[in-house]
Amino acid sequence: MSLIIDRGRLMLPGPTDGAAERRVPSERLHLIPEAARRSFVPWVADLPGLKLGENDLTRIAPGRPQAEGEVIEISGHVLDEFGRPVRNTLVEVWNANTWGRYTHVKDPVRERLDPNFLGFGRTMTDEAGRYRFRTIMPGSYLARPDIDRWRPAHLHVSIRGGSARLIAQMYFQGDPHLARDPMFILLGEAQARHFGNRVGQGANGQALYRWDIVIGGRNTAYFES
Amino acid sequence: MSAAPVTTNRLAPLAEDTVGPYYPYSFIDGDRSDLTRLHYGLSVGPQGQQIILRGRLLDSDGAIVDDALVEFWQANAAGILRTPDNDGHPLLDPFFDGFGRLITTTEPFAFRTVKPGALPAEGGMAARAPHITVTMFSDGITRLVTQIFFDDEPEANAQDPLLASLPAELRERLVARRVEAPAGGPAVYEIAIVMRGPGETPFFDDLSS
Repeated sequence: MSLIIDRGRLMLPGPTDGAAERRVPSERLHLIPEAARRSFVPWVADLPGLKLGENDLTRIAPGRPQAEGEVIEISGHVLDEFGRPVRNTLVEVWNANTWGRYTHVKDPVRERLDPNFLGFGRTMTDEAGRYRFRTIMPGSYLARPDIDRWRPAHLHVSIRGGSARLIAQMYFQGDPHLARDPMFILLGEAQARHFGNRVGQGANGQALYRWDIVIGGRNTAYFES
Repeated sequence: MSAAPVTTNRLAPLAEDTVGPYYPYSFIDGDRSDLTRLHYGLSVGPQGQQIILRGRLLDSDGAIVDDALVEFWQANAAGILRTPDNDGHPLLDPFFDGFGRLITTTEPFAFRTVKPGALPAEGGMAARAPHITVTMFSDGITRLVTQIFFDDEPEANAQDPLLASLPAELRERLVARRVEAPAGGPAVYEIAIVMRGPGETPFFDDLSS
């Protein structure tokens, strides 16, 4: 078998996801000729204004009661592959509540909703590319009752702004459901980079995690204006 | 395929993942599905011909994919992209930044914008036919990217380096067709984006390219 060098990546459907089997392209991606590449690199300057407390998911709004569950605080840098900070970019986060339920109309009714938890927030990186947010330790949940498959505790991030674009998941070391989670298994050698690293305890007893978000590809390099 | 430069201090990127089924609808706070209207009540707007790009995002069963996040990126009517290297360009439109975003429903989506101009050749880059870059996220997939062209630009399309890089039978899958629309309103173009299966849309690899 010869190495294919004139075509892009082949996207592989996840092993158990019916949506993937109907949505993942069967053909390899096509490479972009250099002469056409310029317009594939978006530049997003129009970002929403943030409201106070949008990086604190533990409360629906400042002054409201705290949600159920363990408070965790996650911070780190958003970087490109050369270690350069991705500045002033939007970091959107979302996760399930302490019982493993998303506050989303399409999440099947399994676990309890927490009236004090919406589970989504956002923040901007600062001039050094740093971000920080506080949330509730997400519960694991039974994603496929038919085959008893659980999703381990995880949270999602979306990075958008400048020319950076990434959607990724962060996991927690030691979660018993990791070993059977197809999405985690498919990360392969990248698994270790998707763990938040426990680094201690904050002044209010919250568990502190560090997680650096490194965005790949040439697009991200556009951010230096 | 351009190989990554070999360095010892390069950081390994995270793996792109699916947005999943339960990402927050707050992603579209600040409606970006209509780039022709700056803000309710403002009488200024972008230069150029107003259009609606009406699209159906389809799966391998031919069913419309709902709850997909679709992002758009395009030049203004003069063919200028609002990027840092175009800062201060005399043809930038102060009322147009070219970035749109919407979430699909069970109906075809409608992205209202101005028709992008042809990109001029510059800095070693070829001229480009008018086009809109479309990025898709949904349950089951990681980020997919393609570009959509217009069927009333046959000469420009014939010269476009991206279309030229594709086998002839795939090119037309990226070309939106102008359809009948009420007189006096925006021109309407239609495109089907087929994620998988017969008639599958060509998607592009901006990580390996």
